[in-house]
Amino acid sequence: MHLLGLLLCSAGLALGSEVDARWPVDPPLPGEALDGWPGLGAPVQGEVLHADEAVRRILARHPELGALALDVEAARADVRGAGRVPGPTFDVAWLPYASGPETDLRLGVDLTDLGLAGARAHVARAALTAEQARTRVEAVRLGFRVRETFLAHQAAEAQRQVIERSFDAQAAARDLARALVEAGSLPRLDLVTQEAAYENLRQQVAAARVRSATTRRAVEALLGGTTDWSPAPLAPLPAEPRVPADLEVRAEAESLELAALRARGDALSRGARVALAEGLLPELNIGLEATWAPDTAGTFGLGVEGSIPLFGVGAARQASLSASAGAVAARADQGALDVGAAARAAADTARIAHARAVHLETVVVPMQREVLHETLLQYNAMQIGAWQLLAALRAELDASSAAIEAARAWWVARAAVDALLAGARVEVGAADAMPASAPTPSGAH
Amino acid sequence: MDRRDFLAGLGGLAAGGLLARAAEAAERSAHAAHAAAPPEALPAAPRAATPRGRVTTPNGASLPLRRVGAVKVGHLVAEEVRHTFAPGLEAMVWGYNGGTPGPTIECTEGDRLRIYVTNRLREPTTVHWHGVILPNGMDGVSGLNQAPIPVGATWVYEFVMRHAGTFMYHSHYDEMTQIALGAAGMIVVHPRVDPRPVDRDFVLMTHEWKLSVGASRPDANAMNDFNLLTFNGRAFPGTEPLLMGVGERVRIRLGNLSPMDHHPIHLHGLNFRVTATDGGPIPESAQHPDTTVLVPTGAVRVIEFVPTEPGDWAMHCHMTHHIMTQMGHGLPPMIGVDTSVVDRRMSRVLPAYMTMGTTGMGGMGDMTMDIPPNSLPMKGGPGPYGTIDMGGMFTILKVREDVARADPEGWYTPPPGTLAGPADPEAMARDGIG
Repeated sequence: MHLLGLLLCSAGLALGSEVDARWPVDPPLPGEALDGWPGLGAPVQGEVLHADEAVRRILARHPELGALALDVEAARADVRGAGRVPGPTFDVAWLPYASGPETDLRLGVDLTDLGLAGARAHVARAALTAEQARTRVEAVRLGFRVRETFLAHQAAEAQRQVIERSFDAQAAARDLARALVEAGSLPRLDLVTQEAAYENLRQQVAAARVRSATTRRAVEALLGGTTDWSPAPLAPLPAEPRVPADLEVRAEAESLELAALRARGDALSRGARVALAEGLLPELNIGLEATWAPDTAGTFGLGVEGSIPLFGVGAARQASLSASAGAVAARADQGALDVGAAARAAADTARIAHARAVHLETVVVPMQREVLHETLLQYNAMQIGAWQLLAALRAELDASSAAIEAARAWWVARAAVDALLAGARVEVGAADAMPASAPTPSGAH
Repeated sequence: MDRRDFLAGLGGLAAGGLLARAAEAAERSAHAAHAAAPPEALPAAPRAATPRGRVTTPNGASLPLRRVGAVKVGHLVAEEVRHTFAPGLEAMVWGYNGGTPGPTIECTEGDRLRIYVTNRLREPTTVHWHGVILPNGMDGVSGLNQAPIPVGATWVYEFVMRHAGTFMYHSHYDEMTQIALGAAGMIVVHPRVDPRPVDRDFVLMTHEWKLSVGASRPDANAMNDFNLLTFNGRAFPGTEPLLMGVGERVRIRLGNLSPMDHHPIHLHGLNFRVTATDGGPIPESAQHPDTTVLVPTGAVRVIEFVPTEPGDWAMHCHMTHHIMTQMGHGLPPMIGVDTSVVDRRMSRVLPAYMTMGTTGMGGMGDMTMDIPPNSLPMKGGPGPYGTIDMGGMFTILKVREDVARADPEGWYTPPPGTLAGPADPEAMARDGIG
């Protein structure tokens, strides 16, 4: 359980983030938009789940963490086995000589094994260290993937709500065109223009719903099939990206990948020395012997047996292990460079992602809101028509959708930095970009 | 002819000569009093009948002229000014002496005028004396008659006003821009002897502007879709009413320096004759009665009438869009449209939205929705029976019985039985109206 807890901590990564944001969206539309389209029912409500809580719950039950713990347990058993003091052996020999059978009894201890037990235990402990580091790397990566999956669904669901508002706005534009054409005020061109835009947007709404549903299914599988929940909005952006200036140094120092490589190299090196010793040392066995033969009184006493290798038999194994140790060392050297490069890339990505997300949220979206407000004033002054007003609303919603995607990208980039600080490089799986919104129709009032 | 007739004719001639000399003396006296005033002082608008030999410029004033020897001297300063078209609607324009149109230049036939022009605009300028017959070098066409007046410089024009009449003055450098921004004004040259003296003499310059809603500087490049029409630089309800008495002889001098549009000016409650253009008086035999006079762009039309009916009478351009301030033309035609479905959906999509125009445009000016600052879209002005839902080139002739004691801001009260009202059902039945 302690190990599991350690792995959970590794996998939880940045568990201290605030997650109490609320996204200003309207309730979703009724199923009007996609009536008859299969598998795209209304979104589920239920318990509101934030990212940190979701990650905690998922990792608490994820079978992979249990499997990783068992991997470590296996390596620990190897340590116990390697360091075990060899027990005495009892040999019995019955030799049917022509002159009569001879019975030999021997109770002895392998001195060579006894002498090498410590060295072998060191090898096993190095291997255990390597395995511990490897499993923690996997745990960190698992935690990152879980968080990335949940963030993808948070963003997909928020974007679905935004695009459905945009769809609602386009429906209003279509309704206005219908009413005007029915009254004879406009030609049919204006109507079909608005209806075409509406139907184009219906495709995008469907895609948004599919994406939300697909990412939700992925989270539900991780939650063990739980369906009675809905995602909280993405957490508010912090004012600063909080990427350590010494990330490269810290990533290298904390790298569990490098620790695993070095421990593995250590195990191989020690193993090579053990192999050499095994090849050079005679096999010595000391013990008590008793012998019975016909017509003899029998013997009993302390005896030593041994075998001396005439030619070193461990050289090949020693060479193999040494070469492997060298290869691992070389990989560790390259690995340090790779970790440094990954840290620099992750830092740059996180800073830029943060700047983008903050700019969209604090500058672009408010500006689009102001455009909408000023457009409404011009509409109230009867200088423009309702279509321009609805186009301004859709432009604001497009900006909101872009801000959601940028915020998701920031939180993923942040999680990648946290993974590095926890000791593992991760691969960021780019979430599918949302399709561009349908162009605002032209040629209408 | 016998001796009695001859002597009677001599007496008539003498009387006529005496009258002419008396008129000249009165005119000289008036001009002398005017010349004694400081050059920058603007005379107060008269409340009583227009003094003979003086015009009333509603919302404006005449240029002070100082007599220096035998010359009448005035000073026009071409400059950028913050101008109020109506309460709540201001813009930066290019005018003269702090306003647009510039002050009316009044003088008498035969006067030698010396007008100094100081250019405080952002670019060179000139002044052309529209309709005035004068030496070619004083005509003010930049590049043709003179070099332009540099920024910051003061140049001088001097010429004799040989002919009486109504004329205009305006920039003739970058004319498109400077006239569009308001560099224009009226000129009235009184005859030495007015064959048809009037009791009220008004000067109105018509103009048009493109001032986008929420903007504060007109678009000088506009060629059409002007949205702000003015009398003397003002749009109703910013126009000053014209006060006159029943039975008085009234003259209105209409000038038009709109960039692109003519204006058919219609007067309610009376008919008039067009008595002059900027080319000169129209012989009486050629005058015809009318209620609407078309004033082409670049032209002057002078009308004269005697109002016989008291009341508040509308006077306005009869191009219907010229009496709507800042009306937008980007809307689809909404009349007759059933917007019930749209309204329901819009209440969810954009709660601040309100459908407009489905029953016409009347009443739009009374709505209190948020609109851009410094704008008066579709706004009218208060009247005695509700909002007068017109703006732009609209003013009111206040014809009063006792004009000397009339309140120029007060409304006319019709005598009983002369006010339109709801029909009595019994009366309708008696008259066979079903």
